[in-house]
Amino acid sequence: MEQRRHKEAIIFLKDLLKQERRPEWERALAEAYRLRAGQVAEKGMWQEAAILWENHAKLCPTAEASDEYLGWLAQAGQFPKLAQLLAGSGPVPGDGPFARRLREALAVLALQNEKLLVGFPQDHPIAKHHAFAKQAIRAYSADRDAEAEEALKQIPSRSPYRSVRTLVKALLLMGQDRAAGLASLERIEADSLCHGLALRLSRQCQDGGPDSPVGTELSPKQHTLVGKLNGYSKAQLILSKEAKKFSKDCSPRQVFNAVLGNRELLGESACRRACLAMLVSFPEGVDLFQKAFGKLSPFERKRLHALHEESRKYYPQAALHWREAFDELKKRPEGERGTLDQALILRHIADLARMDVPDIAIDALEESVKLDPDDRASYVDLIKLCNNLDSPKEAQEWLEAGLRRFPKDVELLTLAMHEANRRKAYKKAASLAKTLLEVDPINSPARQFLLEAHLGHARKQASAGKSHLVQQELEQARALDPRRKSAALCVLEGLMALKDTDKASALLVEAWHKAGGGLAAQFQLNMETLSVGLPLKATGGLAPGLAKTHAATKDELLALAVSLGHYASEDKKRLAEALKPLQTILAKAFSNKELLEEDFFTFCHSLANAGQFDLLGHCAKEALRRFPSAASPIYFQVYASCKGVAKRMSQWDEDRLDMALERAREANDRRTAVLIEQLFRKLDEAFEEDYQLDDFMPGLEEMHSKLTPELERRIMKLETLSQAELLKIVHESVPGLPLKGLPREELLNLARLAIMGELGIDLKSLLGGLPLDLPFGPQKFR
Amino acid sequence: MQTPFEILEVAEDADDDAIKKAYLKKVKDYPPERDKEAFQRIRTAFETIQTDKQRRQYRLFHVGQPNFDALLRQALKPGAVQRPEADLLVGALAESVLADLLKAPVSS
Repeated sequence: MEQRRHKEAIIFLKDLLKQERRPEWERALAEAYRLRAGQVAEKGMWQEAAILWENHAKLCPTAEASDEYLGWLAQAGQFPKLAQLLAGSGPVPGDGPFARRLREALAVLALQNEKLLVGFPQDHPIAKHHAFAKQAIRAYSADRDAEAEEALKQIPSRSPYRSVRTLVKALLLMGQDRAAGLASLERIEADSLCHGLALRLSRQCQDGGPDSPVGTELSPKQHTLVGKLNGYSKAQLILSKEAKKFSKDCSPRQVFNAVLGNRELLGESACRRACLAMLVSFPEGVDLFQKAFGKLSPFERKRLHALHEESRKYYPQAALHWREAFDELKKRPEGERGTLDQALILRHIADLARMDVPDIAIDALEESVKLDPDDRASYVDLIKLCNNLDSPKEAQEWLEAGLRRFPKDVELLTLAMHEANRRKAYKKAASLAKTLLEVDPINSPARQFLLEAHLGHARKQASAGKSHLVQQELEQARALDPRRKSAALCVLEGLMALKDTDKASALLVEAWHKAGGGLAAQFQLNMETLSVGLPLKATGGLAPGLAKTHAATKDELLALAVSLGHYASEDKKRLAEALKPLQTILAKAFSNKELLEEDFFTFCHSLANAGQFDLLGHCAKEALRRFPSAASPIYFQVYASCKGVAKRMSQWDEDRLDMALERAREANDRRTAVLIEQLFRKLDEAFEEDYQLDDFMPGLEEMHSKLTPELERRIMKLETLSQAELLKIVHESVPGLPLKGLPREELLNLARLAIMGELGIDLKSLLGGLPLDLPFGPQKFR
Repeated sequence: MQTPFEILEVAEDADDDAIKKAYLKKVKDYPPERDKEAFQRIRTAFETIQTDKQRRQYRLFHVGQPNFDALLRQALKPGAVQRPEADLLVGALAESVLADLLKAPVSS
């Protein structure tokens, strides 16, 4: 028994009891029966479980019929026995929750099978109220409402028939007021066994039709009952029983047929719409559809094909089908071609092709603009796509075309403004910014941009020695900055007034303070001085300046990072020259103990963006010394050492970056991880560009046509050779190639090329671009 | 899923004006402060079919799976109640009661 082998225990205990009837062995046998009953019940053997429990009860006459036993009897369908127990003729039943539910069940079951009442004393509630419940139901069915209500009144609220009473009352009410009847149904208690049916009826008999009919599970009897209560026609009843055929679990064909088979009830146009929508995922249904609803136009068929491919995410095929649909529209007679539809389809093709084949996207958009020249978004898309494809000339043309069509469009004006600034066409940029401000006077970026454009133009004129034009630009800039907020403007004004040292000094001091003083102010002064073509010493003594012993604070360093970001697009040499006088101060500032890892990241990032690799190397080295387990200093060190060019990375750098990437991921430092991943991506791209196998593979097919049968045989034989034999063939052509660990397929390709030496392919010269002592593993060699 | 036309209760060939009118009426019936979800649904529907171009786009490229529940609900709207026979009512009830009784876990 300890090992739960109760079946064996029962046999042994019975044998023992045959020898001697010891009370402890009888108790043990009773317990073994009880435990074994539980075991067989777990296997769903309800009948056997009930018998074993009865054996247990025989040995323990005082034991009550447990809920478990009652449950097993119910599961075994032994309702007469259950009725006997509840009627009190067997062992006394327990009063657990299951016994209470059982009384309600027996009361309902007795309405169907009166034999269950045999044995119940007349005053037992199941027997006593049975006749009233039965009468109420019969009277309800026969439209004798008064009689039904009278019978219901005889059933007290503690009767096992109380839920039947509520149910019949609700059904009576439904005849007069459906909603009120349904509300009454919901009053049946949740723990009543009648609650399930009440819930199903209230969901299925709603005024607006059944709730989620597709997913409804009803028995045939319940379906018929719902059909009656809803007053369904024969066709409706069939449809309600077949609603499951519309579910996602059925095949598209089954659903399609179910819809077509119920056209009359579902409505012709709703059916057509539903079937048309289904054709996207079930293109095989086209014939069935056409048979039912008439022929689809060629355009519609192509459209459905395209949507089908899109649903499978086969975008190139989808684009092809859309092109065919477009061609079908074009074939239509004038007036029915739907020019706008054509343009929309072309734009859709562009959307599908944008990522993978931007050339096709550009062609489609160009065509669409001809059909619908008023689509502003297409111009913007074309500009962006051309820029992405590194076609600035085309981008500029589309920008101009867009602006001709939409001269006041904020997005196009902003794009044009930035583009002009990028080309250092400051005058044009200023003019565009002005137009933008006319259209959108509170566009503060445009205002700032215009100010910057005037300043940029002023610097340009100053370096060209056109001082009168500089003043004009500065005046216009000043008009845009009436509160004199711009430090750069102030510096430029000071630089233009150098002949008047007092005025110049006043302006430069003002600019110094506006820039917040310290490193950022000095850097800005240096940048502006250099940008107008003056040497740094030109402002000596006129501005506060920084001593070499100056101890820069953390805030100064971060302000310098912001300023570096502002000038990042300037000439790198000029930036380096402006930073040079600050190097001693910066070297000291990097050892400032207040600096956190985050501060180092910010500063290093701004140096990296400004292309100041020497300083970046120093800063990253100090950051790594302070935060040896951080990932970002390693990244910036590597970035500095390869000067931002991924393919200049050494193997050592790659390994360090690999390690840093792992660290960044572990520390959840997403920012650094992204930067490292970007650098690795650039490395992969650079490698692909340099060593694409395709570069020397073209012509291979042509070569194949020239293969002699003998050569072909030798090439075929390669596949049967071992790795070592293949290595030998390749090394005969190119000795010393580091091929260890190269996948077999790659090695086979090289061996094929080596054999084709007879056709003029020289493997050694093909690999001429690759150093034989490759500093990386076979993976990279691929 | 209802189509934007169904949500706004307009015909599929309704023009800009009719759609705007229907939208404003719906917003009046379902202001955001009363039913945020319904308002959002109405707003999205309006933004999908507001202009002729958008309606064309919707018709050309939208792939909506048919709402069979809605379709069936429409087809299965109830008529006048018919009284079921007593045996049918008792049979359906007994079947449901028995299923629920045996479904409930037996506990001691």
